[in-house]
Amino acid sequence: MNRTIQTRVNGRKSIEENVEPRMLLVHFLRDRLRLTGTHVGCDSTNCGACTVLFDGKAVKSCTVLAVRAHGHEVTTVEGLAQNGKLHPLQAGFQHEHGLQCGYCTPGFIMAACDLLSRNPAPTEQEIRLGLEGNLCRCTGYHNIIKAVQWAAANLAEGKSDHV
Amino acid sequence: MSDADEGAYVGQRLARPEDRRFIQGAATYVDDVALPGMVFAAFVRSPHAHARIKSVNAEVALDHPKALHVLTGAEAVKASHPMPVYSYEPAQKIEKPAYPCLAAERVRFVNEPVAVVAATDRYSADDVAELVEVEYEPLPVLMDPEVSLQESSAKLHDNLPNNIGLHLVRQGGDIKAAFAEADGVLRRRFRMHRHTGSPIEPRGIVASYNVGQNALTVYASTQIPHILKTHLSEILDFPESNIRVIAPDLGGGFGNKLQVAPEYVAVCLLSMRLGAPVKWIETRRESLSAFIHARDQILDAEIAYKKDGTLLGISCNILVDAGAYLDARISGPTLGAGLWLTGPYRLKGYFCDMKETMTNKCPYAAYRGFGSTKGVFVIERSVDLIANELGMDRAEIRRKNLIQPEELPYKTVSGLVYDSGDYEEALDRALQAVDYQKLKAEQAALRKRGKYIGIGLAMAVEGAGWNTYTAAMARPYVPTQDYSTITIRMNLSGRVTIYIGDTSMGTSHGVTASQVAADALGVRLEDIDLVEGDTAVTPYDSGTRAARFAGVVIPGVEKAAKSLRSKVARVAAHILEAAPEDIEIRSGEAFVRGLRSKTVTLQRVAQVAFAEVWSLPPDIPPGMEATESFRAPRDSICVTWPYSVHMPVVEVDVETGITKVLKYVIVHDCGTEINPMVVEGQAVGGSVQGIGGVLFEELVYDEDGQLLTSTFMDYLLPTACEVPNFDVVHMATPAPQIPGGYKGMGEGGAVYSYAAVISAVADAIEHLGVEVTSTPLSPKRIRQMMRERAVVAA
Repeated sequence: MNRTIQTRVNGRKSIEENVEPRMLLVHFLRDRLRLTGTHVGCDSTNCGACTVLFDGKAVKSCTVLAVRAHGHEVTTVEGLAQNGKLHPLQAGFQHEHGLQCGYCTPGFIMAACDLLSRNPAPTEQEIRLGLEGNLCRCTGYHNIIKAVQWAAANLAEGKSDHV
Repeated sequence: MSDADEGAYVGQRLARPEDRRFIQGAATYVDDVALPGMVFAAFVRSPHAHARIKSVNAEVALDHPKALHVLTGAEAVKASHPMPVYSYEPAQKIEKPAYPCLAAERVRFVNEPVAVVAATDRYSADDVAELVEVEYEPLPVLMDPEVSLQESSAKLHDNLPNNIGLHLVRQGGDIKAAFAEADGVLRRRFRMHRHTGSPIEPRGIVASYNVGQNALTVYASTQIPHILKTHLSEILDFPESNIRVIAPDLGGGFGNKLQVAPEYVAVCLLSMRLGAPVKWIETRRESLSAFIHARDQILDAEIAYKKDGTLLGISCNILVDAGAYLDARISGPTLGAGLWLTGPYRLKGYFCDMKETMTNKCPYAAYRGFGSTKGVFVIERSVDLIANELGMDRAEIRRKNLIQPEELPYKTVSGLVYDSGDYEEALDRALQAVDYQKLKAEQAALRKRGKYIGIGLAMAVEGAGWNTYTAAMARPYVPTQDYSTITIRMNLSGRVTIYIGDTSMGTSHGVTASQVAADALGVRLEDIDLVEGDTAVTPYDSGTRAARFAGVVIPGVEKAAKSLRSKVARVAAHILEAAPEDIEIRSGEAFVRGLRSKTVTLQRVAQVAFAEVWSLPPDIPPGMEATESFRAPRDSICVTWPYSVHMPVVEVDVETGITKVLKYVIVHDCGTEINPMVVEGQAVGGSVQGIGGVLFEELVYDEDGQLLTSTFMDYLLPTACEVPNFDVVHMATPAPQIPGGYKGMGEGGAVYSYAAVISAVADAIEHLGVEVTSTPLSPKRIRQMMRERAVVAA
């Protein structure tokens, strides 16, 4: 039986009726809320292109049912920039050329968000391990690591106060 | 504006303005396209590798409450022509195996589409597809390309009596004389395994047929919007002028998305039947099993050499496992392997026989490097093995044979015409950057402790931009020449838009085209926008392929921008009451040279050109627009010739078989660099595809033709934990034949990294009594090599 789902997505209240119980969170975000920044790359929880924050923790939204989000808070890449100001991770990816085709980028940014919230000053190895659940086919990861380092340094300098 | 102008954009490490949409989740990939009334498609696919289709029954499927339509292979074949195929050069033989968009009579690989369904939503489309009943009669399966050649083997296509789909032969120099002069001949069978580009965005399409206008609008994940349009027109027998292809943001392509996908044709047919927009988005399983496979070749090579290390000639028979059908691009990766067998070396003789054999696997086609990966692997590995036999150092044997700067331009015996550079200098810089002598001493010391590190070394000259495929329907072969046509327009606000008919697949066209145009025009980078990929508004173009952007498209951008500049200068001269030749344009302002006080903004110039035409002299046409073409030089099959030396350092654990890449040095030269940060990004990204291809990725079929690696759980892409940091050293020898001196380099990393990583693993373990001539070098394969060695030793 279809459900009504009430969530907070990117700080905004959302009420969606008639959601199939089998609907995946990623399709709920993309097709129902039209938040298309979250992508699907593999259908098997390997590539991480669909990574979002679920109550502040990174999850792969292709293996979470939308009904699970009822009463919970979801943050997608669209919710990161505040008052027209990019999140340091977004700025870092641009500054360090941490993306090429950009398809995996939102997933990397959200996974890195979670990483930096747990470990604000990660070593290179900790960054690599922290992003192991995300696949990028363009960059070879080299500049993604630099982007996260850039963001960590800028967050530490207090240039932005939110992760 | 002089080239030495301060603030020139070309050559600067500039962040990409286009990133703003990607980092905010505001890009538009094909799955982000939503049209009113859009319905969803799903494919019914074969569970058999080879079978006769006895019946297709859609009755139950159509009873599903959300089912809209089922299109079977039998209907599709009546409504469309087969998929195209052609050759990049005159072929000994090219027969076209009938390649329908949906199989009607026989299926020839697992997951070949046999029907397509439409339903009101994504999930229901999958449900409906499951309800289509297909009855099959299994047929014998051919999985080995060599068995496929045998006379007694079953034939996969009625018109291919020996299962050979394409046969090319190429020769140059005097191969007999080269071998007659030899002191030794190295004979080896080399083999590269099946794997593929696997862009993270799978294929996808939204096809929208408008009955009233008899018009078909297609949003597709493709590298070739214009060429796709031409193909669709022919396949569907539909007027090309009524087709509009829009390639939105592309989530990676790597050559795979040069494909004219049979699924795209079927979805177009579905939309035409329904008169509604239809979306299809591929799953990863479909992508790995039914999109494009690549690399899989057997290369039997003989290399003649003298005892002082002089290389004389190479002869090679190449067998390509083409899979079940010939993809349109099939001749490229075949020919590429053959052409690149000569490396950056002086050789006297060359012969290459290239055959495409049909098997019951997913069709084979282009993946970054376009064949050269195999040619470079064979020649570089052979040079190492010859050096070992002669007791020479790997760097020294190369030095002895490298083409020298004063010999350039140099025509290789395989027919490539290298343009400019200093290959030995690149080698020296790589050896220095990696600290070769010190590393060799370390390696020797570590070996005594049972720790095996290997220093990889591979180099090549890469062909960027192919003079092929612009005559889209060329078949079986017509000579071609690549070109670009660029439109550049200034609008009333003084901002500039560049229109290019290809699409950026992560290849940073926005920033690089803007850098070049900003310099040529005298405007600020932030005042330039790029429109790509929409056939309704961009000039015809052969697409994003073969690293052609810098060497073929950018000269067109520069030419069009200069043309627009002279138009701006004429109008500005009129406004400022000066001569056009005295006008300078900088940072969005035009002024009289040496008289900065006499200045007019480009916004004002544009306003006059568009809106105050009455004030212009009659010989200045209204508007502010230029279109120019650049025709690529045709001296050779490729347009420009960047080169690189790659030196990865690896450690191989012979107990576990695991190879760890410790560091990686790249020295490369792609002529004038537009944006070194972009160049490094391409070089590193391509190299990691080589690391993945050699060490991790493999498409494994069982003997029944079932693909065992159809998810990213089994098909292993490298993660951030499997790759090292990279050290990139730049050289910049301008291409003399290209205005601006640019050379393409997008395929770059991949061309060299295969050979380099293979060489590194070989250097780590060959002293233990094994020889590395095939891939993958997975942990399993390395353990197997060690076991076989133990048996031989016993």
